[in-house]
Amino acid sequence: MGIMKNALRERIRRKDIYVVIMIGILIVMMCMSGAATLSINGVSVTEFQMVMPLVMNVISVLGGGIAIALSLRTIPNEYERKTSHLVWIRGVSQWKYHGQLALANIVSSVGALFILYAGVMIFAAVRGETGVLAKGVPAFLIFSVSTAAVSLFTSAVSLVLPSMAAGVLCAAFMLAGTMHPILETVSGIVSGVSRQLVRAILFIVPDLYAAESQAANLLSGKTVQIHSILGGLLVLYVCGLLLFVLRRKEA
Amino acid sequence: MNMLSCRNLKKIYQKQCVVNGLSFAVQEGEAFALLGSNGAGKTTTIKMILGLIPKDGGDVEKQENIRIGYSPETPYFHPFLNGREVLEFYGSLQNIPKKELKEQIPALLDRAGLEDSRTKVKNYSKGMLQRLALAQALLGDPKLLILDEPSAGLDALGRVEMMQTIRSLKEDGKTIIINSHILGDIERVCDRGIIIKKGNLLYEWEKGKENRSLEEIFVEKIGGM
Repeated sequence: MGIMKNALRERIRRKDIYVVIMIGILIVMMCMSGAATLSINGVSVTEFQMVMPLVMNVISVLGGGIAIALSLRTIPNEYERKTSHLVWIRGVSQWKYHGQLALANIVSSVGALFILYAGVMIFAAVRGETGVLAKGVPAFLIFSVSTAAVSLFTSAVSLVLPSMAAGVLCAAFMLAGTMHPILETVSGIVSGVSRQLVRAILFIVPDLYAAESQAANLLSGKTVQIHSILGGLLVLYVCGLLLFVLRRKEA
Repeated sequence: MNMLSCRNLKKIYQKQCVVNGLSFAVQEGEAFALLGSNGAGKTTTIKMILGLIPKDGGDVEKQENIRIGYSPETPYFHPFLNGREVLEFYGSLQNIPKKELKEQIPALLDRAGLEDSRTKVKNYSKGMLQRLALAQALLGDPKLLILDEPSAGLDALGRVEMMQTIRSLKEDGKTIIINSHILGDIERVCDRGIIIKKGNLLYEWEKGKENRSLEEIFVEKIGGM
């Protein structure tokens, strides 16, 4: 676990995490100050149970973006600055090396997500939503599956693609994954080549929204669909396999 | 007894042969030099020996289960670590027990001439990085040391100290492969070596075999192809 600990230490010393904390504080302040308001058909939505799923969606997209930013350069940096040489010669397998770096990416991405999520919990506490607070930890575990998958996918792709291409691909993966229901609606509206294209995206990109929406369901007391959570875990597993399969020829 | 032997090593980069059928053997306990101008294929050869890049042909045979220490040409460490932490990190990758590592690290830093282990690596001079590179190569007491330009970036005194350290390592029975441009240093420390140009073996040098200096031989061979 030395490689993972070292990569995490780099994160902490580079102070990336403080940027995330700032974003988290901003979210809480926006929610609590009423600066961000939502209205449906001209009626202002103030009910916590209605605002919360929407805030969770925003956090999930933000968390996905942060996961990509935190995971995109970790492995390529090791190879570019040649620190990989001194790891390879010590007989550390590529799977172990990349796996530990990817794990550090997941831990820091999920940690960043937790900071953002804590904003919602603080908001819930202020509103006196004790029922929500009680389910906070299990809901976060469900909520973090998609972010972990985005981070793992980014780590795997960054092994073989240049940073720019990997970043664009991962952003597309994350956005299409978290906006699956919207894309499904779009596929029903458009026709011809556009429809085929949207349907192809829906077929290729896993539904990340399905798993994370279960966290909001749990928090708001709705039925939790276990198969959606299992689907999220399956995506995580497939991304792990991708990391195992993709290799570097040179250190 | 051979510590390491390379047979017919070959490496092709973008259709250009950078190492072309190179063969040599390194005996146990000797200091062996890889000599040549820039782009001769020395670092590529070292990387193939270490398995950092795949070979396009040939074989590398090493003694079984030998531990190899490697000091790279341009040492780069995680900039947020200090010298001690760098050694702790690489020591942990070698599965050296923590207690043993705690004993080893001060001795290694001292041997490499790095008194200050608290400064962050990002504030190190090139010479300090070279010393730290040597210290990490010595972790776990390896039998074979591969030093790629160990005195690059060092001032005159630093170079002398580095060569003294390498000589003392040889006296301790370590087998050493050095890649260096500084022929005077090589002549003082090494027993044998090879001169290569564009990946081809030009000459096998042995200390005391000829009355000429290594520099004279080098100029003749490198200039003559």
